Amino acid sequence: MAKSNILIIGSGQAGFQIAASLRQRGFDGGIQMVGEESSLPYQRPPLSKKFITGEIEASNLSFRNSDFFQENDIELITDLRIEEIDLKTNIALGKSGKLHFDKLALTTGTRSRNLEVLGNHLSGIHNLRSIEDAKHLKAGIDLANNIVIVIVGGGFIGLEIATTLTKLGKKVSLLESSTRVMTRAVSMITSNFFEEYHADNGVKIITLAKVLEFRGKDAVEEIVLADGRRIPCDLVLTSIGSLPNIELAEYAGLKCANGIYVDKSCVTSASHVVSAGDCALHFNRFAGHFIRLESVQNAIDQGKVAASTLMGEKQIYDSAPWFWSDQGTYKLQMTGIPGQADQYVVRGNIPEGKFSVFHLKEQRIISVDSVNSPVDHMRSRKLVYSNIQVNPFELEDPNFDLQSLLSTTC
Amino acid sequence: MPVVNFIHPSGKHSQVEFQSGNTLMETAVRASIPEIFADCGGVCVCSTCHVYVDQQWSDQLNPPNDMETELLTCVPDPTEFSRLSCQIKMTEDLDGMIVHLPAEQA
Repeated sequence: MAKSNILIIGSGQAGFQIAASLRQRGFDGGIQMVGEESSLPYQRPPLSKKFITGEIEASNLSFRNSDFFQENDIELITDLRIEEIDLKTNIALGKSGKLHFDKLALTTGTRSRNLEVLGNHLSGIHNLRSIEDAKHLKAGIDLANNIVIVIVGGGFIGLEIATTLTKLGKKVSLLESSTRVMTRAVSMITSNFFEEYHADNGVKIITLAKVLEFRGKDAVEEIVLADGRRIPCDLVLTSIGSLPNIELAEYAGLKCANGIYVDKSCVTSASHVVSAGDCALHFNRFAGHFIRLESVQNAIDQGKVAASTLMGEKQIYDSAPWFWSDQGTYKLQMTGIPGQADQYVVRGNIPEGKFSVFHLKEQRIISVDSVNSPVDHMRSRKLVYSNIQVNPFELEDPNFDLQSLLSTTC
Repeated sequence: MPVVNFIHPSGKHSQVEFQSGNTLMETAVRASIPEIFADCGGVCVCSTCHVYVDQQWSDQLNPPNDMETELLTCVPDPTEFSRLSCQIKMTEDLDGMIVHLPAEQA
């Protein structure tokens, strides 16, 4: 029987995981992985932290060196954008020609959202998604000592960059359009904690700030807010979220909405096509609805499931979501999906910066924010997964071992 | 070049060259040691780079910080020789170090 050829479009975390898992599971057919970027597949988290400070170089970000791809017979094609895919003839079209496949994995990820306002063409306005973005941002930051940097967007990237920049001695302001930072991801208690922390570090945080336009001659010089306030700046980072790269899938006739629809085994509306990672819209029981999860965990775990599916050994994606954000001296870890919580329980000590906030709904844990509390976080993942009913008093009792609520360790 | 000796759960040995300054996790991952997942890329948040440092070598390492110590309570089958390999910086004097790999990661 002829060996099958698998094409992976998108060489980020999920795409790489699929390739690695296929070989690990003994797939002996052809694997081609195509990516738009020039670099070997790499990890993005350090781009907002150690890469900007210079502690890590670009070459240290790769998941594996080029030997790995050669030794595992994974044909990695960089600098190639796939323009179109035909799911009847099973051909992917790029500048270099046609790529034939038997099965396809779409791991096209997301791209940074741009602020669609007047003046967004001015120089000095940055996004942060790729190594190239990070290099440009770093170059812009290193240009002058006294520059004023404004970050638009108080999500994880914005806050991590704020910390990194204050570490480098830069003057930073952060604009957030809602009432608090990380508004959809963490409890108000956690938002407040971090707002205080960043303010203590000299970051000027302005909430309910809606950007009306950027002004400047060639380079951005000030931001005008909807309420009329003008914020002078030399450099801007817009970190306002991402859009899924679904154009290829849509055009090929795959079912999409705000993402590429996949079932529990990462199969799209075409049985020989899987999708995984940031772009994959899936029903997630922890959210209670269809969702895209933009996280390393989701990319890795969905990647593993997708690889199994490609080999005809279907698994179900059912991992408890988890996420982390390093902000200065604090490691924020999250698990579950925040939603309609009806109760919040605090465990630990907020002034000491070592605490967890449990989001409960009908006495079940739907999500947990942990700050410098890795054991709480690891146990919370299992509690979220198990969906058991909990006693709030036990959660907040520091002497109560959370492990006792679980049948297995952690 | 200095080497580290990984012992797989099967008993099989893998001798891997390392560069001083890299972490034990990075060394393992670059050598495609399958028992090390390193999901978080080495920032001490996931515990999937767990290893058992051989008794003869464990004293030569810098002791774990608070974060690592806490995370180590969450790995499957922790022992007194458990370490998170992303927190161990390789140096010349660790040439020949023996590291036992766990059968499973968290």
